[in-house]
Amino acid sequence: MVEPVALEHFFLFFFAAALVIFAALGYALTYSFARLYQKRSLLYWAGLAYGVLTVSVFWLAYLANLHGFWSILVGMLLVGYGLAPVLIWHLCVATHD
Amino acid sequence: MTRPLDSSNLNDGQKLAVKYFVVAVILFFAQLVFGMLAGIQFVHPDFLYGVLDFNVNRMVHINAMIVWMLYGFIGSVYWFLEEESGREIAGLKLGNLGFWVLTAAVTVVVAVYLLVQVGPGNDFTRWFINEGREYIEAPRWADIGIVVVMLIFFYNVAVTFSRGKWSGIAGVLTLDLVALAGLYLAGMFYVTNISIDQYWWWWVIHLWVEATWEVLVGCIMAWTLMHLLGVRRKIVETWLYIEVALMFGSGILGLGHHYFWIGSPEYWLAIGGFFSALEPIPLVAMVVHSIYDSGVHKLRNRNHPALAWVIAHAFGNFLGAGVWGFMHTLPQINLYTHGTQWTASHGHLAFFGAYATINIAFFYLAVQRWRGDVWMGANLVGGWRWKWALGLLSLGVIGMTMALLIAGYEQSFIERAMGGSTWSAYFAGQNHPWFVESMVWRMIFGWVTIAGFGLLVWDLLVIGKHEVRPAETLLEEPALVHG
Amino acid sequence: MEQIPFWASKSFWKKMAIWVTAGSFLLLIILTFDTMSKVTAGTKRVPDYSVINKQIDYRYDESKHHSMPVIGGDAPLFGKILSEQEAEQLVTLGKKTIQAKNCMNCHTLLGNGAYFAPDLTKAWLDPAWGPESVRPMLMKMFLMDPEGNARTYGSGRKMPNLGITEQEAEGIIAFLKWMSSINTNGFPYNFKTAGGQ
Ligand code: HEC
Ligand code: HEM
Ligand code: HEM
Ligand SMILES: [Fe+2]
Repeated sequence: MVEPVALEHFFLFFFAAALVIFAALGYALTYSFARLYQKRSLLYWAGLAYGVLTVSVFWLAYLANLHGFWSILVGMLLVGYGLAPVLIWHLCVATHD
Repeated sequence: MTRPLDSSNLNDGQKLAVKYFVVAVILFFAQLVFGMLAGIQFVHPDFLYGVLDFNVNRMVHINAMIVWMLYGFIGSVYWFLEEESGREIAGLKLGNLGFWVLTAAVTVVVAVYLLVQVGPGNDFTRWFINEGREYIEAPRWADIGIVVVMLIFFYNVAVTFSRGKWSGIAGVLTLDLVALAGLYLAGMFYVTNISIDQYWWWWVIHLWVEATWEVLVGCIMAWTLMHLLGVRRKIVETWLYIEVALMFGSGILGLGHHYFWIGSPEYWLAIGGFFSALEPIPLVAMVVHSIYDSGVHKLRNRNHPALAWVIAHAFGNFLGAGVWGFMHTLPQINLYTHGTQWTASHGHLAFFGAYATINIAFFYLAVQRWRGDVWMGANLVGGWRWKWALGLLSLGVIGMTMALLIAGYEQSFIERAMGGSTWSAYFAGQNHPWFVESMVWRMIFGWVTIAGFGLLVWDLLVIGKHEVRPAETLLEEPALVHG
Repeated sequence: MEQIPFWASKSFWKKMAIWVTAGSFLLLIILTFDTMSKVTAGTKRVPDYSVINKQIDYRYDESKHHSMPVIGGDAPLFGKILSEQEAEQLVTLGKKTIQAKNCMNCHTLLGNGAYFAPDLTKAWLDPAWGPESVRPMLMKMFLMDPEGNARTYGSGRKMPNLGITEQEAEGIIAFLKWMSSINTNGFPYNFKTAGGQ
């Protein structure tokens, strides 16, 4: 059911996992600042951060052997961390009106 | 001219809260001292050998932590109970009695831990000396005492609210306290079967720190934000509900990340992996929300140290629980990191980042009122002290976390993956230079932590003493002008 | 001020909070019932306490891609076949002693506990104890006098004497033997027993 991380991928795995969450943070930060200051240029940075997130999620999937059934998790990470900041921002605006 | 700490500035609930805070700070100190003793034993195994062995020091270290944080939470709730409900506290005498009973019980329990330590393998030991289960070692008699005191606390909260205003915060708080106390019962029985034992043990530990405690902090934060930044109630309460949905939605089944290797069925590998991988989402959501809020409020606030610690809480929760949690939560890697210094690294950063910080923030709110709503904004007299306390405590804990991370990485590699976790493989990991040096660095940063704590206490005792300015008054929050 | 959309309203999120919590909790309860039925002693994953009468090993399983406990023929502990009830009594004494002596604030069991001393999940099978013929005796000697029988592998980190009686030591050994028979989904990974490969 689970194919553990290979020994030689140990270090890279931790790196990739940390990168996933930091990229998610970077994306959330740039996205919300772009909205806050209404700066389009920052949205490009947000796009870039999401690109890093995508790459790191696939890298993580490769290192942790997330294939077959586990590839659902890859989709969940991409969608979940991708949509959360957008939805939350809209919620912020809507609740504060 | 100085401003004294004057209890006539406080309402009855707040006077009771201050007692809880004082004991919390004392136990925080005990936590650090016994952490240091345990840490030294990694470097010098003969230190206090046979007198205060590692298991005793570690038990006091983590028990003191759980108890001081609970004291802080209880104090915080008593602090805002009267203002939030608009009523006098329902059972003040009972509340005071509860405080003294709990404090006496804690004292006896710790004295028995230190003086008696262990007993023969029978039921008496579990009832009167030590239950021998991590974090909930308190003997059974004390468990029952704790439940009784929690019931008194619960009575005070529920009845005070129901006689006064029953706000959204009141509703969430009351239900969360029921869950928190109910979960404790899951740790109060004996079983021989270790798989069943660990199954329920994690209900207490995980469902406390990753579900009910997070929501309790959410309630405290909700109230704090209204008073620190002047955010409107309706907004704060909507967000409290959003947080509950996100936290419980990922955290309750995230429990599965502890059921990979304890004998439970294989489906937990998937449930634990999937749900816990989503646990950082609420933490990312908080970041987005706080940026929005900072845009609205431009970080104007009436208590700079408290707000700084609230920000430290947001970061610490994100790093310790979110990043450090995610890095070892998939079974594909947890197979190796499980039960190593990796876990300890995460445990330190998460508990400090999420829960020590928010308690300290509240201590600052309390001393501000205690000195009669003194100025705690810009150019505070002696303002360097709280900044250095914050800096040193954070540096100390992050330093320890990094040392443990290196040790944990090495341990999961050498002992768990290569050596197969045998007795000799264990020591191969422990004797590795990376490990040995990390243990020394942990002690160095431990001293930094202690120094930060010393400054913190000093600051809490004197902050605002020489201030003449009263605290800033807050305006109602403006809505963000938005296109 | 415009109307707040329903998906941002307080009442919507109140309901969401309640339904999400109730739903997750309900699922957890159902899973708990199922798990309890699969981890009760005497099931496939967690054998009867009388498994201590048998030979136990931990070997790599090709189909599972991880190591699995393997139960073999008779191998009575302390030279005597115990009834299910006697076995449970002995293992219970072991578990109570392990709690009373606070072993889990130095050791991990099933990987949970403290990190000052080796993991005990498969301690019964540890190659350092030698062949099964001497294992119970060596373990008993160690538990009753860990200081005198210290190994420490050059670390100097000794286990202290905890006042464990002979009876308690036998209980602990029975408990450790029983615990080594639990199917832990392959944790610890790559653990090489004295008997296995
Ligand atoms: C103060 C910490 C401490 C406590 C408490 C403690 N141990 Fe140990 N234990 C150790 C250390 C350190 C070693 C390694 C000793 C050595 O190598 O000489 C060890 C080694 C062992 C071993 C051999 C290792 C192996 O993998 O087989 C067993 C078995 C064991 N302990 C069982 C127990 C039991 C059972 C208890 C509770 C009754 C217990 N220990 C309590 C520290 C402790
Ligand atoms: C504030 C929140 C949190 C706190 C205070 C916290 C604290 C801890 C502590 C103290 C432990 C060790 C328990 C023990 O003694 O055995 C632990 C274990 C663990 N935590 Fe957290 N945690 C938090 C959030 C998270 C999150 C969000 C995740 C996942 C994304 C996570 C993943 C894990 C895992 C996988 C383990 C098991 C480690 C092992 O296998 O040994 N934690 N946590
Ligand atoms: C003075 C600095 C400190 C030192 C030297 C220290 C040392 C230690 C040691 C030696 C352990 C045992 C780890 C093991 O079993 O190998 C431990 C465990 C623990 N400490 Fe600390 N500690 C310190 C401060 C803190 C702080 C500030 C917190 C949180 C607020 C904390 C939370 C914990 C937790 C949660 C555990 C259990 C970890 C687990 O089981 O994974 N400690 N500490
Ligand atoms: Fe957890």
